[in-house]
Amino acid sequence: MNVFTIVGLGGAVGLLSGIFGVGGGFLMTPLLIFLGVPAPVAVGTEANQIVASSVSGVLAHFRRGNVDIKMGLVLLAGGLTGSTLGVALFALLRDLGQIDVVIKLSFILFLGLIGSLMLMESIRAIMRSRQPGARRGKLHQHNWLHGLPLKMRFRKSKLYISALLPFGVGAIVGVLSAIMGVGGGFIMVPAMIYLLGMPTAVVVGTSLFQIIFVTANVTFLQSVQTQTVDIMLAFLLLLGAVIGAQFGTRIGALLKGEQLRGLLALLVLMVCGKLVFDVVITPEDLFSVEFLR
Amino acid sequence: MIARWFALTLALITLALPASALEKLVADLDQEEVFITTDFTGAELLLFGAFDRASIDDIAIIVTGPSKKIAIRRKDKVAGIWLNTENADVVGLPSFYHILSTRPLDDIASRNTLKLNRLGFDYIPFKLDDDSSIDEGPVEEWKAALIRNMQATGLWSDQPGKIKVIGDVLFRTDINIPANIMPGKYKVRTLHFRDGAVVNENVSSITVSKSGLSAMIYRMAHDYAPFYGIFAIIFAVASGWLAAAVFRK
Repeated sequence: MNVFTIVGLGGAVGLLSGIFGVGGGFLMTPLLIFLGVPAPVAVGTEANQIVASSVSGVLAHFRRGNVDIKMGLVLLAGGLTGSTLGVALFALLRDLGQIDVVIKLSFILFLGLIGSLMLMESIRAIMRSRQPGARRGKLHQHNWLHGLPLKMRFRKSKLYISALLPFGVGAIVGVLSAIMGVGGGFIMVPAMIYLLGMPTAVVVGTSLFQIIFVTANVTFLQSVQTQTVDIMLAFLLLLGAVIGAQFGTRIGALLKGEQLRGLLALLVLMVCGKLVFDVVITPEDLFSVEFLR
Repeated sequence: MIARWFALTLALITLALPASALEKLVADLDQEEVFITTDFTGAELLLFGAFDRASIDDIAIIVTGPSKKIAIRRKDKVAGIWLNTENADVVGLPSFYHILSTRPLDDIASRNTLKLNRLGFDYIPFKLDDDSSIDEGPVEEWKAALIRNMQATGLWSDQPGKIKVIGDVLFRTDINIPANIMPGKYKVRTLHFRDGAVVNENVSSITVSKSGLSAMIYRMAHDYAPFYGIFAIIFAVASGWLAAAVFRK
């Protein structure tokens, strides 16, 4: 594969992640697959790249004190458990010859879900901005989740909730991180706001903080168990992404929030649509071959 | 390379000129080592030689790579989605198998002779591993699928007419090494056929190895996987830190 194509792809996704303020893993992995990188290698390598992009992202949040370390550690405990299980599942599916389709189906499910939610949200926001005076709903309500045992106090997030909640969120995102090669911020962030009820200011920093360790765990386990991490590819993608993100942030500041989210939603749905097409269309050859170790 | 080719041509001509009855076959490659570097896009090797042409003579060259286990998978539509539903694992297959010849193999020799010399896709042993999910019945369909797919990767190929004979004495051909070739020892067999029988054989080899940065990374990833994993993490943390430092306003 051409070096410039890879750096260019990194740059394009970096630009988008800068404009929209998102991690970009959920776009990078499918795009790598579209370019012909084997799906397992795309996933393993992307986890490695996210370690780097999360490190550079979290530093700014640390400086501003926007990281709830206690909450981060509980999420992380779940994340490490989930991602370890996830990599084992990944290796099993690979042996069964089903990993490619599982990766694609996972992306279809989550990109479809997140894309539609974002699109609806941004349409609603645009409508609301045209009709001033509309009221905002309650952030979160008390339900059975708050009756769970092992309650813990999280000072920074001003919360007193069961540790099982963040642990569970971390574990689910950890599994996805291993199978999809994403940081999982796009699931983690909404879950932290709506499910845990954390204040928005500390959400992104705390999420990045734990993503570093979860993706590091995935990188290590994938290297050992499936040999799907390509350092060279990760480095070239990062190189492009870092530069792209710098321009992206500046462009993002010039554009309007709702329209921006609507655009990102459309993009996410397009990637999702292409993946649907991939798994539904009749393959040219029903048979495929693969070298085994 | 041209100088070498010219010198060898001269040597071969003088060697082959006394057209005596002894069937001589000489073959040589312009390069016996291929290095896979990070920017490797494939290579083309020149094979040339001389033979003693008397009757209906043909040359066939078979290049084989290290044996591997290959999984063949078959997709079926399950609830609207194409899934791999059946698989056959075949052991002891050549990871690389190129046949080059002066004419189509079936015109050169009888099926028996071809089979004896394992010349042609049909004569590659097709041994199913125990954990294959197919029955003995449709094996032919699976074998055809294997040959078709391996040819699509460029690792297997059959190239009749690729060997050019010059002046009834010399022959030359190019062996195409694709970018996805595996490191290892490659065997090059040159066969001289006369009236459908093998009269002479010449065996040489090509060594394909990873080199430079790509060799180091490949070795580390496969032989020292835990260190590779730790290195990948440290590398990522350092680059992330550096990126943040460079662009910090």
